[in-house]
Amino acid sequence: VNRLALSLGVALLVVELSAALALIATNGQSDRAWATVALEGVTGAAFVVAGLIALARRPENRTGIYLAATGYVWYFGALTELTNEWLFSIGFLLSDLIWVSFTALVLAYPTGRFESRLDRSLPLAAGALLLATSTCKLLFDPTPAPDRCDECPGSPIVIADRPAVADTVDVATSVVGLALIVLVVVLLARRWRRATPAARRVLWPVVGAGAATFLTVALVIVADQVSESAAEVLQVLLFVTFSAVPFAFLFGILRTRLARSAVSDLVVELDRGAPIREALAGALGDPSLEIVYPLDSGWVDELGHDAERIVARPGTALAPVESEGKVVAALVHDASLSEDPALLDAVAHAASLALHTQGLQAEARAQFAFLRTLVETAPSLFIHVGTDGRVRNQNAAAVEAAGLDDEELIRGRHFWDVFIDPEEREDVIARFHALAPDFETGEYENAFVNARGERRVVFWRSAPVRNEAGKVTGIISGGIDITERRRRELELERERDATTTALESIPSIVVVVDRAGLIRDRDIDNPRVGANRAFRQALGWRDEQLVDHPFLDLVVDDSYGRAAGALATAAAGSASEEVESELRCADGSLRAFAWSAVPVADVTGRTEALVLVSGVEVTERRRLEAEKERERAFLNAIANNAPSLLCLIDREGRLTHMGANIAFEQTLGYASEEIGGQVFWEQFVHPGDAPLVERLIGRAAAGEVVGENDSRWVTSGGTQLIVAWTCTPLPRLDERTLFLITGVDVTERNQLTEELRASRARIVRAEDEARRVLERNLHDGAQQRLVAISVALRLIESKLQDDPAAAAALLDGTREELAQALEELRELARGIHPAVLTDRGLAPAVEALVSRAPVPVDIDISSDRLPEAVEAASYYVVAEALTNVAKYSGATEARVQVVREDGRVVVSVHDDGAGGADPSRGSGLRGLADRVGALDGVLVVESPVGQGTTVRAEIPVPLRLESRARRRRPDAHS
Amino acid sequence: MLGTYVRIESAVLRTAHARCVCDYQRVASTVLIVDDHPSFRASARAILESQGFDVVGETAAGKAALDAVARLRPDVVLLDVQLPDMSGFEVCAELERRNGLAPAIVLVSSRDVVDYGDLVQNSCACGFIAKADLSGEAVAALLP
Repeated sequence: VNRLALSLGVALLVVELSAALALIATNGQSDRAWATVALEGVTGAAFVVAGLIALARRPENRTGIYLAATGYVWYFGALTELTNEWLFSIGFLLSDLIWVSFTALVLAYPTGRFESRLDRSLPLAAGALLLATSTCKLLFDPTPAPDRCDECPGSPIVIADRPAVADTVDVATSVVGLALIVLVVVLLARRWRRATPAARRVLWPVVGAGAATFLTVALVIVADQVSESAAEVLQVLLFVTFSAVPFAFLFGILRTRLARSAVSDLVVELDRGAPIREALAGALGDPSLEIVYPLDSGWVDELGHDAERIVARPGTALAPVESEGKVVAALVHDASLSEDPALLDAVAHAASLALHTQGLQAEARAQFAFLRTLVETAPSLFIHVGTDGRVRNQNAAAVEAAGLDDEELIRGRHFWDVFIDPEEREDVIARFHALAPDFETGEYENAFVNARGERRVVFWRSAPVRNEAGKVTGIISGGIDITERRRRELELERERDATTTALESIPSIVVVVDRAGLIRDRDIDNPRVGANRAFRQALGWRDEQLVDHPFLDLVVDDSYGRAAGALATAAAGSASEEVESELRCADGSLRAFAWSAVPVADVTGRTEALVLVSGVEVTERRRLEAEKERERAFLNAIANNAPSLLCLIDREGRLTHMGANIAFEQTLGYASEEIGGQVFWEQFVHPGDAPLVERLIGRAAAGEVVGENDSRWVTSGGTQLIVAWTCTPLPRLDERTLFLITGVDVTERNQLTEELRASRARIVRAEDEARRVLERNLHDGAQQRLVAISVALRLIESKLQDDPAAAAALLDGTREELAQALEELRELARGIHPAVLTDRGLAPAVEALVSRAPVPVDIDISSDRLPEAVEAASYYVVAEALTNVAKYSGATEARVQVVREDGRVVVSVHDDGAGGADPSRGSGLRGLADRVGALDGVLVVESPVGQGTTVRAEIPVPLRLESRARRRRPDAHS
Repeated sequence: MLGTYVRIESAVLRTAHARCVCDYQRVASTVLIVDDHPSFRASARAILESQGFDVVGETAAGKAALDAVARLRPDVVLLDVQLPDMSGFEVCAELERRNGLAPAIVLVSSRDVVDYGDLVQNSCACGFIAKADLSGEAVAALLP
């Protein structure tokens, strides 16, 4: 608001005032007292002036407008003093509007703003009510203001003379007006109750005068209905209270001015050293005032305590106090003081220096409190010792270490009486005095028995405290109670000794390597033991040959990197798999070890990662395994090269994987991979024999001894074989019990046996036949002749006496008979076995045969002797063949050849006869074949029709027998 | 044991049937010689005739012998055990079946009696004579 506006305001006041005076003077009612007029004129001016002052001070505050408006409207009341009925009516209508601005003033004071909608609507409601009432009176009452004067002019706009209506309206207005007044008073009372003391100081002059005015109005309204005299008195009172409002306002302003003058008093007071908070509270008129100081951690009070709660208190505001451009403090004041920032500024400025000082003190106190807390709660011991060795101060930890309950028991005593054992005291005292006067910084460890009898070990570090002049005034000693640590160290050492002993005595090899894989040194006091005794003894290396050498250098052929991998795994923090390696010994030999690597923490607690390699020797185990492997390979070789059929079955009769030998697979015609899992008796045995085989294997599985059995097995091609087999439980190779089926294919053997049996039978039959023939020949030949001779001799005997001539004749016949008998016997004997063969060998015997042959025979025969059986067989082949030549062939010549070749003798008899001989027809050749077969030889007869017949026998000649025969030859000749 | 006993006793064996023919008395017995060896037949005829027997016929086989017995009705048949077509025992049994106890049959053989086991004993022949021991006395001894 500029000066122009203020000037216009003043001008309007002057115009209104002059107009009012002029109108009253020229047209006023006769009974007006000029004193009253003057008083009323002053009252209106007081409102306008107060309002303009307020606007000048705080242009944005509407309080001034409400004040001034009340004053300006006030002068409309002067119109009712006039006799002109139109002017009177205008004044009658408008003069009541002062209550609109007045109500607004009282309700909006001191901020000029309404606190609520109710506050805002009340002035308008009052205005509307009053305007309506006045209008109603003017319309229905010719004398609307009878109580004011008798000669007041009537209403010029009366439409009907109905004073009763006007009265009714008047009563209703009174009731509503009273209600509004009560509402306003209640609102004011509520505001008062809520206000802080500082706010009440501001409120009370204006609000008090206003409330009194409204209450008086209420009384007037009530008194109007009761007695006129009382109402008149109250009218006067109303005038007084109403008129007091602008003055009350001005009083408030004046009091603030006075408060500002208190700032200078404040400076004086602060200089005199008055308590700063009380001084400021007094100066600002706010007894609740608090002062806070800024620290990095937040606001603190003057004692350095945290002040966040103070700052956050409701209804307060924070006014920062600056000094040299920096916030040094803040006033936590009642929010109402913000209405007068100038005062706050002045007070803050005046107190800034003192507050700065106070702030520094608060900071120092806060720091001190922090340090004190630190010292008291620290596990470290602190003692402050004078240069005389007496304890001046100490913390709780020091008291505790001393074994005392009361810190006063330490203070003032010599520290050596508290912290040093008696026997060391003198020594310590001497050393302490030797340090004077400088008491250089030092460290020492000190063990003592405290007042509670506990043994303590404290590590002290002390430093001198100097005054401004640099002179040492005391010593601060900080100590750490390392009793527990010492105890643990001792325990650890003992544990370490035990560990080392254990490591040294266990039979496993143990070697510690670092992350780089280097073997650590072995030191009994150092837990990082390198190789243990077992390791050194097993491998024969000396310490210096191992320490700092890569462990992997000892590993032979780590081509797969498994050893290196194990070390890397352990170095990375995990336990490795077990590795088998051969390690190089000092003597050049190799030994096998199964080992693994695990990460270990250094037992001293230092965090260096180590790797523990531990293992056991497996050389012997490996040797046994290799032996076992060789044995297995050997057995496999045997099994696979054995002609027997071998297979392994489990308890259910299933073949194990690859569980058969080559003979089995080849004989039965299966591939190796086809047999695993097959049930033996289902797959390989003839269905007719399977139940028996299953039963027999079941008995073998039950522990019974099952002998050899012949069963029919079937090949993959369906061929039946006769197999002689057994089932034997094997020693447990693994968790299963296995059974070995051993079989021999006896199909061929059985055939051979059958043939052999037949051959034997034939030989026997041939023999029998030969004997029968021999017996028949003897019986029919020589025997008959001899019988005849015998009978003849008996006859001769009887004739001898009576008829000698006849006897002589009979004797001649008998001699002839005897000669024939002899010849027949000789022939027989030759047929049984020629003596020439036995005595002189095959060649002469064959020559004798040939000499009796009916056709010319060419002979090619060696004179070498052969084993008797061979010679005999050869002889009979030739004899039979030549007999056949003579009997059947019709040949003209024949050829006999006996040659030795490749360990056998080949006998062949060839003729040029008709051929077509059937070897099976005659028993002679059959018998010959058996005889030759008995000597493992073969007899072949080739007899194509018309091409002659060749009988050929090949008989093996055992070398040994042959040589023996050779040696015997000279004996035979001799 | 039996064989041993018989061998020691004699080459002549008197069988149980011998007593059966005892009642059949003849002064000069007629004989039929049955043998497949001609030389034995000649010798046997010579020695038997020289000692009073009347040889009425000779045959060389079993069947022929049966016919000859039926035709000639000899008192004695000198019967060889081994014949080409039948054995002497079979001929003996057939003769008994046809003729009852007649004629008296004397078995002869160049083999020993023990070679035939109990065949001789169980036969219906009067006895057995080894061929080498053949004589009229031997035959007569079997004919009581």
